[in-house]
Parts: sequence; C-alpha cells; structure tokens
Amino acid sequence: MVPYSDDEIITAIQNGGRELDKAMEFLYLHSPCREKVLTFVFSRNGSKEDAEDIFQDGIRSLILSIRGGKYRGTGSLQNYLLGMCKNLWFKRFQKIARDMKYQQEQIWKEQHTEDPEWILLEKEQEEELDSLLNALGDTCKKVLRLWQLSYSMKEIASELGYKSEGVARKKKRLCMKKLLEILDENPEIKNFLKKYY
Amino acid sequence: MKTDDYYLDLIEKYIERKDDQETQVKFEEELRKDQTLANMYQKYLEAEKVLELSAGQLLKEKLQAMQAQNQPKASIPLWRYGLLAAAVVALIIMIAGLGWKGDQVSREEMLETYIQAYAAGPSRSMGEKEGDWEMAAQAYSLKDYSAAIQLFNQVKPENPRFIESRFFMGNAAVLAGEYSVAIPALKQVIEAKDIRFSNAAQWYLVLATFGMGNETESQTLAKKILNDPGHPYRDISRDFLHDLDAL
Repeated sequence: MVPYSDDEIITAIQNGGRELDKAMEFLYLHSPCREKVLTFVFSRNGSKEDAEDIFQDGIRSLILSIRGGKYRGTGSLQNYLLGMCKNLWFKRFQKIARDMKYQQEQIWKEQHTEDPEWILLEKEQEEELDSLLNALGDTCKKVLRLWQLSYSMKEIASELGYKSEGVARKKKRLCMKKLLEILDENPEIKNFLKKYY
Repeated sequence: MKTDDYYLDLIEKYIERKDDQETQVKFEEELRKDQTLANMYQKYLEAEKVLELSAGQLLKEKLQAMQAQNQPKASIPLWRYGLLAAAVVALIIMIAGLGWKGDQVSREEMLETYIQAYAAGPSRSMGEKEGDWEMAAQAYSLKDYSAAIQLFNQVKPENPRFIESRFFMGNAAVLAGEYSVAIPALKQVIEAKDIRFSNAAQWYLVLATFGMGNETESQTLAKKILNDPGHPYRDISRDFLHDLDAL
C-alpha cells in the first residue's frame, strides 16, 4: 500500500466514502503508530484484545474528530493518534493503571497536552443510542451511517448490494423520513443529544 | 400542498450546495417565511447529530472486519474450491438469465428499496413449552428466514400466539422472496383484525402481491392504506405508489 502523508489522510477522511475506507485501512494496518499502541497496552498488562480494541477506538476517535472539525492539526497525526489511544486506555482501564503504575501514568497524563477533542461514546451509551434507533431497522441504520460518512450513492449501492444508485438514493430518503418520525416520537433522543451538543 | 419530500429536497439542496449563493439565499428566505420548513430543518439537523454520534459504530464494524480479514486463515480443503467454482458458474448463469428480463430490474429495485425486516421483531418466549417459538424467533433475528418460515408454520391455531406466528411467517416469507407463502399468511392476520399486526400485515401484503407480479392488486392495497388517515404505513405507501406509477 502506498504510504499516506498526514495531509493526505486528513483529506481522505474529510472526503469520506471509499477514500475514508482506504485511509482507515492504512492507519489500521500500516500506521507506525500501531506497534506503539500495542506495546503500550501490553506493557500495562492489557491483553491482545484490549490492545486491538483501544487501537480501533483510537482510529474511530481520530476519524470522528477530523470529520467533526474538532481536529486542530498541531503536531503529527501519528502522535495525535497515539495520544488518543493512551487517553482511551486511561479512561477505560483506569483501575488497572492505578494498580500497576499509578505514579508513572499520572505524570504522563499531566504532561500530555493533546487530549482528544472528540470523545467516543462509551459502550453503554452506544448501546443506548442504538436501542433508541431500533425502529429504524438494520438496513436503514447502515444506509444512514454510510451517508453520514459521505459515501456516495453509488458507493452505498455497492456496499449494500443494491442494483443502482437510484435505489440507494430512494432508500436513504425513506430511511431519513423514518428517522425524522422517530425523533418526533422519542423526545428522549433529544435529551440524549443534549449531553453531547 | 407541500409534501415532506418537497421540504427534504429543499433542505438537502441547501446542505449539498454550500457554494451556490442563489440556492443559499433562496432557502434562507424561505426558512424565515415557512414555519413547516423551519421545523423540518431543525429536525433534520438533529437527525444529522444523531447520525454523527452513531456513525462511529459503522467504523468499528469496518475495523473489526479488517481485523478478521488479516488474521491467519485456516487452509481451505480442495473440494471446497470445487463448490466455489460451481457457485460462481451458477451465479453467472443467474445474472445472464436476469439480463434477458430487462423489465424485472426496476421491479427488483423497487422491492429492494421497500422490503425491510419488521423492526420490532418477534416477542420473546414466555413459557416453558415455547421452545419452538424461541427457535423461530431466533431464526428470524439471525435472518435465517427460510428456517423462520418453517418454524413459525409449526405453531398450531390453538396457540394464543397463532396470529403473531402467521404475521412473522408472512413477514419472513416476504424477506425471503417467497411471496406465494407470504400472501395467505398475511391475509389471515388481516382477517383476524389483531391491532398489533394488522397494519403491518397490510403493508407487507402490498409488497408480497407486488413481488408476485400482481401490480394492480398491489396498487389497490397501497391505495387503501393511503386512504386511511391514521395508518402508520401511509407515507411509505404514498412513496410506493409514486414509484409504481413511474415504472
């Protein structure tokens, strides 16, 4: 795979769709940060699964931060991603960190200035939002999430196996109408949003 | 009368064409004058925020798929390559067959657009003797619709959940493309007038008759839904009829 520069990664993520997929694949499989994150988690008694989970969530967090316009662009992207992964580790495995190397971690945490501007939803919050959106159905959820990540209608059609972009466009419209209805019928979603915006 | 589609078209054009000064000015003027548009735009922005928060889940799924693909794979026995080759040949024959039926493509596209699983899914088992029900519900949730059809079909008329089982059998049959199985089951649900399922059964019957190629009946059934002001499937039926006219 051709290496991406930081600017190319940022542009691909902002453009979304297949370009985002490729940049994400590069970050996940070929980023120099990968080994650093795995070593970081292993050295703090995390398992392989923990390390994978943290690295994947770091990438998600980076993507959402760039797409949400919250990425400030100071320093290298790899360092930023590493910082995000470390913060995610602290957040999720605070207890382990306290037990193992509390003082050392605390010093790092105090010195570290690049906190992620975009904090991922916690697993329980993701589940809560997902259940609020249950009435949408799996297909609609996927269509709308792909659209949110700037996939073109052609890409959505190909991803979901539709015969044409016209089908994808129509499906997206129906799903959006359904989502608007759900928002009307479930004021708790508005309360959920208030926590984040 | 301005429809939801009219407003959504305006909003999406406004959002997508940020560089088009004329569209921007026109929309903003309209926004000040038309309260319905203002309300719809507000809701649309909320929907975008919901999707922004929830898009992370799709990224996670994609990353997990990458992880699975990059794990060492067990070697595939040679006979499986034979099966794979046979499947590819069958697929090529199927695609070639479809190519001759040019008019089916747009009908299939319509079915792809409108057919979707019943979001609520079957309710869970409540008694010890409901093992079959549990299996049927599980097959449905795992999208094994052929198994779900068979298992729901085993529920006897004396079972208090008989109508529910007919509904999910009909629904699973629509999802599996077995429209001739779906139609009698859904009709039974409509005749039973069970308020929990009769509205949804009417909608799935529209799809099943359309899937069977009976467009006239499908149109009549969709119009019946459209003429019922409180019907929860009214809006989607309107879209369906619109697409049917355009076929």
